[in-house]
Amino acid sequence: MSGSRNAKQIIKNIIFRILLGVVLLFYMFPLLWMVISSFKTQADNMSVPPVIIFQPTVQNYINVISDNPFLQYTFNSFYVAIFATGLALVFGLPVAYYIARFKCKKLAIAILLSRMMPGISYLVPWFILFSRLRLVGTYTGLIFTHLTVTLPLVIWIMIGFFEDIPKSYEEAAFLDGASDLTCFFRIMLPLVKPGLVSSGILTFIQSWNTFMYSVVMANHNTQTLPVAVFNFLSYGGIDWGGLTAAATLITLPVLVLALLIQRHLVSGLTFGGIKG
Amino acid sequence: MMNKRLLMISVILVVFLSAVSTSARDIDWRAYKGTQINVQLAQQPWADFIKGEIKEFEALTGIRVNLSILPEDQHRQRLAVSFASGRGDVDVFASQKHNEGVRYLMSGWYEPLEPFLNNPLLTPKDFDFEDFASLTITDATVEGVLVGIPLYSEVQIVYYNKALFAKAGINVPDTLEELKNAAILLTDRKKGVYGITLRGRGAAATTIFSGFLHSMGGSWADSDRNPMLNTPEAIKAFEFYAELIQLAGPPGSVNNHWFQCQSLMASGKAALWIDSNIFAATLLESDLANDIGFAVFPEGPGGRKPAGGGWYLSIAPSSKKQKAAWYFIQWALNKENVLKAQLNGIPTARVSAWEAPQFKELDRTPELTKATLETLQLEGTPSWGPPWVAVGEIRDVIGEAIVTAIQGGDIRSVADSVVERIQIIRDNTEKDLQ
Amino acid sequence: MIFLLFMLVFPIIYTVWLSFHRWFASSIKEPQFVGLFNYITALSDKRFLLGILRMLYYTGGSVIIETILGLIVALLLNKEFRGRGLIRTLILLPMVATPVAISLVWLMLYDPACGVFGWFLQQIGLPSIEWVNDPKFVIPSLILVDVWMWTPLIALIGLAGLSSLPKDPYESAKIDGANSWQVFWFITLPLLRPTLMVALLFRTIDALKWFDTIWVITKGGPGFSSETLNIYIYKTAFEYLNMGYSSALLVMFFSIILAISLMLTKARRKQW
Repeated sequence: MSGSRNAKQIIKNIIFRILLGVVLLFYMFPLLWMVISSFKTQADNMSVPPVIIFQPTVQNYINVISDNPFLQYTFNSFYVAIFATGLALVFGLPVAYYIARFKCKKLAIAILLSRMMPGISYLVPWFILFSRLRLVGTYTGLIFTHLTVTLPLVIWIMIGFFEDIPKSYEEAAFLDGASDLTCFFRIMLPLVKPGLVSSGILTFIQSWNTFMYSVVMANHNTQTLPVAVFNFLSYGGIDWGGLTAAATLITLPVLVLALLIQRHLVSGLTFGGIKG
Repeated sequence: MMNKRLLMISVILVVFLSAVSTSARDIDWRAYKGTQINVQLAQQPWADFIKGEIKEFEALTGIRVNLSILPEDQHRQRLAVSFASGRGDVDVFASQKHNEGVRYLMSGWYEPLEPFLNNPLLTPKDFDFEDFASLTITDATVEGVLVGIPLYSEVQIVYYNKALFAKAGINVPDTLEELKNAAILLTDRKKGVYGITLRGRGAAATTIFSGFLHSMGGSWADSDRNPMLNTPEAIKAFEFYAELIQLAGPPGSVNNHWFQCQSLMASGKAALWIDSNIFAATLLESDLANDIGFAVFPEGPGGRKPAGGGWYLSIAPSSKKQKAAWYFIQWALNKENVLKAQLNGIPTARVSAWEAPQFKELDRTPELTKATLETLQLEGTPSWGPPWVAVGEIRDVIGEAIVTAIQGGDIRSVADSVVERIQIIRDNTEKDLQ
Repeated sequence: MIFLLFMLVFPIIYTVWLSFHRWFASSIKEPQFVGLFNYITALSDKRFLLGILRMLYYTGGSVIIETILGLIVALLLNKEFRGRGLIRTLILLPMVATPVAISLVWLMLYDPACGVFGWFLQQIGLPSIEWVNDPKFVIPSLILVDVWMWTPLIALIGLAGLSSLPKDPYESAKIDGANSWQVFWFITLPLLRPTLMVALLFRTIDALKWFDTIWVITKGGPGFSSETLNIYIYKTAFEYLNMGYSSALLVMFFSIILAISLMLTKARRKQW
């Protein structure tokens, strides 16, 4: 009896392992394939059946970096993402604090609504307005459109963090004669530091990944990495090594950052929905 | 008295002589040094060629060239968005009459080039605009305004793989019927060899479809620009194009643009390819360079009507550096550089390049030269694209019909709905745009 | 705060205003009032109507598969085993990886000439399909990419939900002798429902307006066969430069999203 039960247990365990393996394979395969292909020559990439053992080459990376102003695009991406994140924090934190403290439901719903709006419904009016202001193609225009993604995100995540702080902290500060501002900067901000870090990183990732806004709002000199890589597509079917090398290069920073904040990632991506 | 007269004559003489010497002297190439211009081109052999020459221009003029080469679709989209936004960040750009022509002219996105051309301070005498083939000048003239300097003598031709044809022991097709038979015969799916590769990606396919449509006796539109895409001839053309791809084309054809077709050709996986002649140069660098042959577009029931119409370089009215931009254009397309491009396998627009003894001697592809020149002799070359203003949207609509046809859909009903749709688009757009 | 409201409110008002006008971004003229013309045009525009259907197909397909798979993965990962932390970390990666880069990789996997997927199908004796090059398979192929990117999200949310479930119902079920399937169906699922509904809501909204992978992989092709509403509007606005018409489409697009999310929110309330 106990024997058959044990056997059943073992079979169950094996099935479990297999399922786990399948899941892992499915999720890792495209990423692994991207990295592997980036070290292959064009002939190896085109061969059918696919080659597993091959002579790795870094030529693809050298080509990508030397044939294109890749560093310029990387700089653009960083520049835009840092500003879009920084400004989102500057504008977003007070709003989040306000909503959390005064339970301003209407504003919260407005922000949720902004999350629901399709990106393109910002893009069309902003594009027209920015055209009139001659801001299309500039960093300013680009950062501003990225803000429509990052700002609501920061606010929504930070509301949760501010709500977690007990009111007594604040009251104590007011009793000591602190003003609103000092209270906010001296007491609240340090308390939500972990939230600050994770929402900052998450917004950075979002801005880094943003594609549609950048295609329209950036020009040759200000385009970000996703746009630049999209433009490699002409070689579609021609230079897979170069494409995957470029893809690897833009994904790498994001993956590293994501690992840093993995704990907060899910709640951030669902826009704090899980907390509520 | 005598002395005075002599003096006067000599003064006149001096003035006259100095005038002559000014016009003969070269222009001031360094006039705009320190300027930076943005040049946006579509990814094509000529763009790759000029990329290698730009250092020379920068050294000559002191103008810095910021060159941006994008795939055709992205190039077109970025240009339109850039001009619509009014940002002056493109100075020189490449475009094509059938696609951008009328719309760009009406929107004020082309700077008329006559004034630049006729200004002796900006254009050296040896630029010799008359040297450009008259057909190419017509291609770069929209509603009577010269909007660009032509890059190519661009026509639709046949590329074929000599080795595959020799092995099968058949001749290069000269009629559409022969083309179909050859393509089917040369297809060997097991070996991954396909008889013919043609563009199938929606809008891009319409360009290549044009030659088939007109050779079948069809046309984009009648003289009042009413669409004629559901006439029996047009339907035959849709059917023929679709059948070619169904019976002899590679899998995934409906997503193929010219660069996929080109790479199939370069890797020996396709026996025939019908496209523009401007893409030959890249094939000459492939391993199969010696196997690639070129021929004139085959004859159909409606005659031999390969499409044509080349790209040209223009100046953006929103540019603040138009004179420097013009310097780039007239330098890039001067006799010397054009000849160099011609020697690189690019079918240029200058008669002198085609006739240069150097080219005749060094021509790596006499067959391409022959096919191009013969095609240029043909009467009534149709345009690559339909003649309506909202050409982008209409090309998408016609392209969708081509895809449906390739997928084996009901061509007649698709063609009817295409015509209906084009009428609606015309009603909604032409009024405003004109 | 004012900045924020301006950022959110201006686009809506402007879009609605523009939707009653005829205006091209390429034209030199000012917008011209045309009343409901754009809306009437849209109602007979096949591309618009089919775009809605494709959007619903894409969204429905992705969200349903993601929920089922996500739940399975969550249950798998809820067990204690070695390397669990590592796996949880690894499956995070697809959803943060840059969509454009990911699209390129999938494009390669789907490639008719050298794609691994086609080769794999051939090896196991199935007829090879043309993935994104076949109008019939293009949306399912795109759904597969979506599933790859976003199932982990549902799985991780489910996992968070699972770990916070109360212990008591399970113990009483054990006493009643329920088998593990019954436990799952009658206890775990109902307890998990609120969490799952939130995840579902967000996934639905995101899928409705998803752009990046579709645009990079197919641009709505072949033909219009993967042209979702979002892609059509993008093309109308930034390729055809028809701003008036695209605004009208946008207003309707946003209304659809709003309606669907309201429906889902209501459904969620009922379950509670």
